[in-house]
Amino acid sequence: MLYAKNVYVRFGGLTAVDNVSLHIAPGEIHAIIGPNGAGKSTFFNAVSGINKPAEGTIEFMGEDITGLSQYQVAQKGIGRTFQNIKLFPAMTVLENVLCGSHMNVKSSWIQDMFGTPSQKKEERELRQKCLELLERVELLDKKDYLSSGLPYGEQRKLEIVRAMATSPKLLMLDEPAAGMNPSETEELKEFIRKINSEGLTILLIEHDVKMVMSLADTITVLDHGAKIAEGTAEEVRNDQKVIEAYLGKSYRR
Amino acid sequence: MELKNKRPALLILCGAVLIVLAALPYLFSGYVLQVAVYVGIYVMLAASLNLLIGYTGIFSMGHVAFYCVGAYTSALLATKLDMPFIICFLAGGAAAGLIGALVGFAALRLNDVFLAFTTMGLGEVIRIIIQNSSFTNGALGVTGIPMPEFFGGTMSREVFYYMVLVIVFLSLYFIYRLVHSHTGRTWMTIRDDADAAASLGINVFRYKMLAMVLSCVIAGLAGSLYATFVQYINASNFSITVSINIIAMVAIGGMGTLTGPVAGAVILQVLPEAIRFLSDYRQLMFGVALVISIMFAPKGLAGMKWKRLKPVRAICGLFEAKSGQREE
Ligand SMILES: Nc1ncnc2c1ncn2[C@@H]1O[C@H](COP(=O)(O)OP(=O)(O)OP(=O)(O)O)[C@@H](O)[C@H]1O
Ligand SMILES: [Mg+2]
Repeated sequence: MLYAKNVYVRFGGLTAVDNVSLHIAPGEIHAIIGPNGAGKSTFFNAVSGINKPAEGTIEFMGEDITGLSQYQVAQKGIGRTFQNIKLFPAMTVLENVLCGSHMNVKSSWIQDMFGTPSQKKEERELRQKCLELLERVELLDKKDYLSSGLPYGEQRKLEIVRAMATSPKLLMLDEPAAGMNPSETEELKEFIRKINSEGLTILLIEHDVKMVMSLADTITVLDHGAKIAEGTAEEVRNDQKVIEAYLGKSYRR
Repeated sequence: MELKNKRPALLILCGAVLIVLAALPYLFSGYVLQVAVYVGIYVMLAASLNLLIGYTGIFSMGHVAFYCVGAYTSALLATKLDMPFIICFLAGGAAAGLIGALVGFAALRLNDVFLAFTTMGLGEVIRIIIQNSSFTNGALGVTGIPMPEFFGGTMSREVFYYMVLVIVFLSLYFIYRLVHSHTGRTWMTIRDDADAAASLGINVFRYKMLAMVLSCVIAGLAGSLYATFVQYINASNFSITVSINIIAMVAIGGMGTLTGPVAGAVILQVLPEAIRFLSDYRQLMFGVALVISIMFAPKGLAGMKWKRLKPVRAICGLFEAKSGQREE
């Protein structure tokens, strides 16, 4: 589904992503792990068009998407969340999700301006769909809250729902469990599993190793921008390089 | 729910305002009428700038330039080509929209301070070109701009006032519809977080351009009304201080609200007239008012908590039912 081939991202002298190749199969949950500053988020940004790769290509569903703008990547069917939550703070929970359905809206600004019947009908249907989405994540009773007023864990959840409202084919989550308490994390895990079983492919960055091990079909490990290991949870867990990267060389067995 | 109980009081208040506006020409002298027309024009300017500053997060400091382009286009068509008012009026809006698109193309990829200074600079450039071109009569300005024809005769100032009133209400209605629909929501995503907006497939540049062009069209239409009403325009009417005045109206009234710019325009247009007798201290009072409003109402008048003034809250509530709920 997503093929990254020899991707490099550089910031001045720093190579934040160093010759990373990655293949995500349709329907899988793929996790990227690695120590702080390994280049995980930068890789996400390279895929979603925020940081243009200096070298390499990224293909999505057989199409070259390297160097497209952010909105074009989103329009190809890649949804994402951000490590530092990026909600629309002045809007309500429901409005945030409504913004997520932007690409499904057919009414033009002219129809909006005159408030034509078809525009009003579409707005009603859109609202209905977003309310259903909110119900699925148990945020329905908070639909009129300001998004900035939600507790941290629910803000993360809302950002995921907003990304899902774009009807993506691939959903990229950057540390979705950060700041969540154990029960919220457990709930999130179930939710990710559920949407994945409904056919959504997922690329996940996560520091919570337990969560990654139990969720991911494939794990890619980055360190200093480079890919040092890839495989199932079992394979990665026993990889010598991974142990060194996380615990330092002295822990070599 | 709460709103429903307030409906009768609200309707009475709105009705009263409408009646006063409708009866204005019969109640007062020509001078009040003139001030009322200026207020209407500035309501259009403030409301249109609010689309940029308040809703889309584009801090444009060159708004006066589009007002100027609209005024000159309209004035020149009327004096040089004897075009009827309706053509001049629409052409004023269209020309301002076109120039707005050009300025937008150059400036809208920039952010914050860069955008503010670029729009201010381009605005000044436009004014200087107009001031020095022989086609626009240079520093002399355009004189003898005719009032519109009306049933075979010349439109009276009273009828002109009613026309302005209708145009102002139509502009506000269209702005209301836009900001309370998908388009407005999309603008606000850009204001709040452009990266997040783009991650949802929103073409940020396109929506900024749309806001820019629509805003400039309204400013251009206001310019046409101004030129026609005062019948003589000069490039010095369109200096940077006008841009700053419009920004002050939006800021004092309340950015990103519908009632804010209207209140701001009314207050900042009427107050200086009302305290004209203070002559020497007028500018001082003005400055003090600005400082006080920034200190005590940073979100503008519309953002204040009018707990004790129920009717005021009800009026704001009518137009901004949603943001009313949002407080806490
Ligand atoms: N816009 C930028 N400009 C310059 N350097 C950057 C930029 N973004 C990231 N970096 C650098 O690139 C490296 C990789 O950062 P990145 O955020 O991708 O790491 P990460 O794996 O996501 O880490 P974390 O687990 O802390 O989120 C870091 O050294 C970071 O300082
Ligand atoms: Mg990161």
